[in-house]
Amino acid sequence: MRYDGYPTGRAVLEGRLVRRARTDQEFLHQLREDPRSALSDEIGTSLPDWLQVVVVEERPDLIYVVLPIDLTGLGRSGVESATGYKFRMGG
Amino acid sequence: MTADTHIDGALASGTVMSEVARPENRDPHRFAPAFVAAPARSHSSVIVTMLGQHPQLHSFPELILFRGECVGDLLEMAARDTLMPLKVKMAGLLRALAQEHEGMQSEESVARALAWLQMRADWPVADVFDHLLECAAPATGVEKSPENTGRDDYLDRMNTAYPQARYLHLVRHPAASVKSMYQAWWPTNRWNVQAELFHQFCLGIWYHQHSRILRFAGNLPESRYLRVRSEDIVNNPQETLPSVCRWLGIDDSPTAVDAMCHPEESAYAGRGPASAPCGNDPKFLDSPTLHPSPIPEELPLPAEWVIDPWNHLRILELAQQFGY
Repeated sequence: MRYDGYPTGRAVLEGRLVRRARTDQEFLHQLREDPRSALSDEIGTSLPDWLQVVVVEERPDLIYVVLPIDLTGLGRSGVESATGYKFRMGG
Repeated sequence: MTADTHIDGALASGTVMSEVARPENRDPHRFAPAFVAAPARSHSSVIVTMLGQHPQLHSFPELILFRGECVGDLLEMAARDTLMPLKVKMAGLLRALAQEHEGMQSEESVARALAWLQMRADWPVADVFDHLLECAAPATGVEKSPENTGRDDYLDRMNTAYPQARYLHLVRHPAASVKSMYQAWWPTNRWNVQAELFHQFCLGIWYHQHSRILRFAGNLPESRYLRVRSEDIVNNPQETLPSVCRWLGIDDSPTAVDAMCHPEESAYAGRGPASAPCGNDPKFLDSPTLHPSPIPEELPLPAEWVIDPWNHLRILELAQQFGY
């Protein structure tokens, strides 16, 4: 397995939200109007009070670049210990 | 030379002897042990010891067998581990062999247990566990090394060796688990993790290890898997343990459950000799009675912890599935 950073589960959850928004107009509306409640609805439990959620929509003339939390301080051995995966680095 | 230095020296030198023929034609269906599957700091030490007090069960300390293919692998890994003292890494297995062979855990019996292992360096680890299960028979053996569920290949090795084994999956509230991990591990400086990310590191162990257990359990028949909140067992054993007993197919009477409420009576409830002092959670070994474990009222994790927010959400989702 190649090491692409700590596996946070972001891609899995973000993908679920996008797929659901594509097929469920009501959920799409909820996601635009009240993203906290939409996300809470998707995961089945309340979000922390202090967690802000912002939904943005890209267009042909607009993209967003997300800089995630920097977890490189976990170190390779820390990530391997935490995940149980043996990573190849780089490439 | 003391028994302690004998053990350290023998392990450090990587000394292995192989003079005993391994058993032939091993039958993987001969035993159906119970494995407790859980990350560290899930109350597994006290709960496994409680289970072992049931008249039809017999629990062992942490054997950490399935990290290797054969005994020689374990001895070499122990000798190579620069972060954990050798006598700590192998303590559970040495204590178990000493206790089952000689009915006591002394410096001398532990040294003989190590020699017993060294003479069986080429034995597959399942043959060693078979031996311990045979010693425990007719009681059913129970084992719980958190390392067993640390990697997919360890679980596969267990499942191949014991295709009828049962898996009791213990869960604990993520915030309480991580606080416990932090207290136990941060002072050891065992991992080179930045201080501000240590909660994230601990949560990663909680999340990935439970996820791995769930993936593994997805391929097991229902009869071989049971998930229980560990707090329910330690806080309400009289109400929770009967259902665990029924799942294991053993006596669920109040007498049997009462016996399980006294982990302190186990031969493994306490420190071992200096040459094999641990083999379970040291905190439990120093105070091996039942202690209540309050469940945090709120599920979301403390705001002051630096956690990737997506990972936080996935953890909340999983914890909610676990009944928190």
